[in-house]
Amino acid sequence: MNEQAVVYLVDDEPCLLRALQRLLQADGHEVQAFESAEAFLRAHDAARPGCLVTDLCLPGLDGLSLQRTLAALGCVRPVVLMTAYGDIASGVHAMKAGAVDFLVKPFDDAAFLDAVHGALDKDRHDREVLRELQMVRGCMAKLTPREHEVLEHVVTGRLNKQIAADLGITEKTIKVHRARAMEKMGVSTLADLVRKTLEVELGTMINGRGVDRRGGQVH
Amino acid sequence: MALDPVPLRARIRWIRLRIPLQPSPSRYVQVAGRGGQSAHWPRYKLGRNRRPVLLEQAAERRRERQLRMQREQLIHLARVSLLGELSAALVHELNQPLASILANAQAGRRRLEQPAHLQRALADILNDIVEASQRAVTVIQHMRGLFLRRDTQRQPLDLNAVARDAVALARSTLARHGVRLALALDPRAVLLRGDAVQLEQVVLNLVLNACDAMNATPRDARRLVVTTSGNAGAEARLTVTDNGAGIAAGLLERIFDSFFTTKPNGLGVGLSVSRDIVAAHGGRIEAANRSEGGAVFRVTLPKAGERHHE
Repeated sequence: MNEQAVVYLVDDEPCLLRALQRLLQADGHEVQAFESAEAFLRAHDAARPGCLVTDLCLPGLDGLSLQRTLAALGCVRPVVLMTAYGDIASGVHAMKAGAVDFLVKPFDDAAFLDAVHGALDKDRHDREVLRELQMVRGCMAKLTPREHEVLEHVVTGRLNKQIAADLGITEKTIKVHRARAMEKMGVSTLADLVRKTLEVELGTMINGRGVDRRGGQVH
Repeated sequence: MALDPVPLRARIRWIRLRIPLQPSPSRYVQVAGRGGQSAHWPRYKLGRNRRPVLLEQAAERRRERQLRMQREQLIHLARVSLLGELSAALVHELNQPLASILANAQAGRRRLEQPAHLQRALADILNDIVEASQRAVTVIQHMRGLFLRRDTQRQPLDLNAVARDAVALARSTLARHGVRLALALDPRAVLLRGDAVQLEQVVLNLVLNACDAMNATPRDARRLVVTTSGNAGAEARLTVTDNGAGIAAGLLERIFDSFFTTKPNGLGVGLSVSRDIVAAHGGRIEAANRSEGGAVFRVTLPKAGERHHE
């Protein structure tokens, strides 16, 4: 999981591909460059952190289709699209399809590196959210149906007494279920328990700054 | 004044010269014969080299010249409109090398701060900048060649080069439409005489039409095949094959007509001008639907050394 992030580059223009590779390497990134979407898909490792920078207009599979293919494969890798046609339509299209940035060629190195940094940040964050959610879900999966039921009541703010009445069991049993559920969820306070449960429900991470909306796309 | 090449009948009594100064038609020599009404006397004008030319012949030649000019104007207008269609693609063709040049130059500037193997790295970068600049120059030169208006040429040319140049101009349009192009050129040069720019215009027209015809074809199935061959005896052949919608029944007869178009923004001159260009080269152009779907356009031209009339 601590693998270094990689920037995947796809452009059918070898000369530009080399230039962008040089820019990224000078900026200290690891780069893998491909002249076609198909070649990228063959070599691409979804588990590896990083981002994809691709030209919109490629022979065969184009940039937007590549973005869709990646999403269909369940890969959340952020995509930066580049185009040499400076038309608004394809830019709007790209952003709607979830590109994190859209660069019109020719572009400045600063703009390019900013876009890459933004995409790498997003990938780092998305992966963090994904790990957290997987962890919470993993904990939840260990709950018995009864513990789960009790937990659902607890997080809505019901008191043990009320839950006992609702479920028709003794308050003492509720306390046992509740303690086991807290233990399995790896939390010691009610606030943490509520947070983790909500995270799974929202599909994103909740931290000190509130709900993180950027992670909303993570499944 | 030398009048000897004119077949003057014998026993001419007099020659009347009329030289109006204003207005045009410009000065002419009127040579009158004997008898009859003067209105029917053959009239001559001074042509090139001050040789007298029968006035009727001169008028005929002027009409021909005007027709030829009009035809060339129409060909040029059709070409300019074609370039209009390609403008987005041409911007793309220029932006690509410019992006390479800029990114390489900026990479070079950043690389200066890392002294390791600096000379080698900068040499590579400069080579790429040179390569991209040359490509931009080629695009501009090519574009200029197409925009310029000139008289029709009759130069030796290679049909393979014509096909390659036309396809190069359409490259980014094809890529944008997701069209996969197969170029199956005769391994040997297909030599003929003609106007390379005009023939390129024909090929470009056929390629862009094929591209439009595949709009309804699934993106990953769009295929375009351009072939040339010079083996078929005295004839050179070029085909453009697509797997698009084909040509609707009943339209096959009309697609080469002037101002006939199925495109919302089309002028309807592309194919009719293409046919005129090919005909002026002594060749012909035919369209047909393929049984497996799509259409094929076949251009047949006489090869170099084969005589043809204009």
